[in-house]
Amino acid sequence: MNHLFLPIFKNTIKMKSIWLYWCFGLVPFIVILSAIFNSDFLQIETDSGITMTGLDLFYMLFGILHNLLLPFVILAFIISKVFYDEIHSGIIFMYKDIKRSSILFSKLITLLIIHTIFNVILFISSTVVYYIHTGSLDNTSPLLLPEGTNLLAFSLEPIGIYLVQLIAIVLAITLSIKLSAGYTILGTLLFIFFTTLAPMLGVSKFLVPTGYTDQIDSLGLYGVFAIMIMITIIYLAALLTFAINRFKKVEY
Amino acid sequence: MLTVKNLSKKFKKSDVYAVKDVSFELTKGEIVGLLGKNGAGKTTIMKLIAKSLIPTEGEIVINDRDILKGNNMLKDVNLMIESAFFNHLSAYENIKFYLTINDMDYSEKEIKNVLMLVDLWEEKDHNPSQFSFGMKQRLGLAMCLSSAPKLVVMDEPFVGLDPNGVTALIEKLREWVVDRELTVLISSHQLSELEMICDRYIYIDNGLLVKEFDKSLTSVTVIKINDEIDPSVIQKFEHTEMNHKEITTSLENEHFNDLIKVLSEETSITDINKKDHLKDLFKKGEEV
Repeated sequence: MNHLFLPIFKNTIKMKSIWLYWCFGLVPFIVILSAIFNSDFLQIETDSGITMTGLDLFYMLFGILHNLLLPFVILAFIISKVFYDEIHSGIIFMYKDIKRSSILFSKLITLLIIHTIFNVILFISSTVVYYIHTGSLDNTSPLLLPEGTNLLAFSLEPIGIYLVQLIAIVLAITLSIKLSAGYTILGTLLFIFFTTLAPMLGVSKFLVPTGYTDQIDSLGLYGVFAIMIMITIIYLAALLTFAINRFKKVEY
Repeated sequence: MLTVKNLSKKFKKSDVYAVKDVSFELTKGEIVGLLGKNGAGKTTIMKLIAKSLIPTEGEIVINDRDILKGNNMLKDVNLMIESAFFNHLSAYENIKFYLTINDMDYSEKEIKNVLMLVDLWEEKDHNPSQFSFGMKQRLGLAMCLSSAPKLVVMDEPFVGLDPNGVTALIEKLREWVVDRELTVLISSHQLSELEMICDRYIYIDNGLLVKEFDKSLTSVTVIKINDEIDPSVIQKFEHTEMNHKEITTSLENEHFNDLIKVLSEETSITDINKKDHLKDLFKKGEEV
């Protein structure tokens, strides 16, 4: 697996679109530019009575970028290049008859690491922005993590978004084995739309990991967390099984 | 080395078989030409051997192992079927990637040698997106020759090569056939190049294996003589037939000279003409 994963990872991160995707992790710096040019875009204001920490800013920007969809459009495009384009251009001949599931998992791990690097860039840049700009505003704390709050409870919503993103990555892989970039991007964005709207649509909210954050009183914090993880595992297992079967049967 | 048994392929949305009940064998150190018109099924057969297509029926055995019954069975097989590369990697990096993912031993010197063979060493740091069609073909060829394969499957390897490149490739393949007992399955429409290299031919038409024939049958010379001679004179020579005042032979070198000598003693020769039987085969379809 190692002789497969490392070259695939090193090869993939040489794609220009990966660097464009990672550039979106620098979006927090727009907060500073926005303040300099007195623009309303990404202006951070804190309510009186609520003290903002560095983690608050990160979670806020993480949520904004998720709803903005643009980084995910690029990620879905990258996934399509890594799967659909390689199959249909004939590049896949390079892999000869290496076990298809090993190829798929090496690419999946590569994409997950790329996604993680994006989030690390976002975290670092939002922390930098917090300490050089936002932290000086009213009602902000010099601390990165909130004091006296359960971190899991505080992070439940962003964790839900993160789990949705994991599912969306595997969904994009599944789609891109057979469908071109346009359909892969469309399908992935529709799924993200659904996960955003589902929590507001009655029963359907229980179909997505993000739909349980208001159930802490009835299910308890750890109960909600466990259900979110379980739902994600079910989605991932179903999609991966389907994707592996599809990938094994691909003819080129 | 390679045994193809009753191989058939029918594509999902098609009513007819692209390849039907094809069986043939390639022995170690043999160079075999796969012939056929466009759409005859040559590439399908090659893709089935490359496992990029799943056969409807049949078996493909390489070195006594059924390659359809497991993964990593093509370790000793190199393919040149479609020349596609990563455009964000250089020519050199593409070859390195191919060798690394397939867990093949290689040295920088070997990559250099193979890139020099296809005249791409100067372009090694350039991306294939900047390459012409011919250069891409040559890069595909370099990839195919970059490790030490035991079997090479090549679809149209001469396209994009200049005459020097063709000669260099033919010499390299011949050298490897002798030194490494390399086996080659090669498909091309460039019949004169095929004639220079192949030991044997397999002719495919409409997905069926129509004919297998030896190199000696493709190189036929027609000798016209002035008077009919005693047939017993001709019967002494193998692969030689007489039809009135026309003698057809596939003899070469000293045997051919002997025949000419004997004929000259019996009568006068009016014309000697080399017949291109591979071309005839394409024209007629199946008769050699």
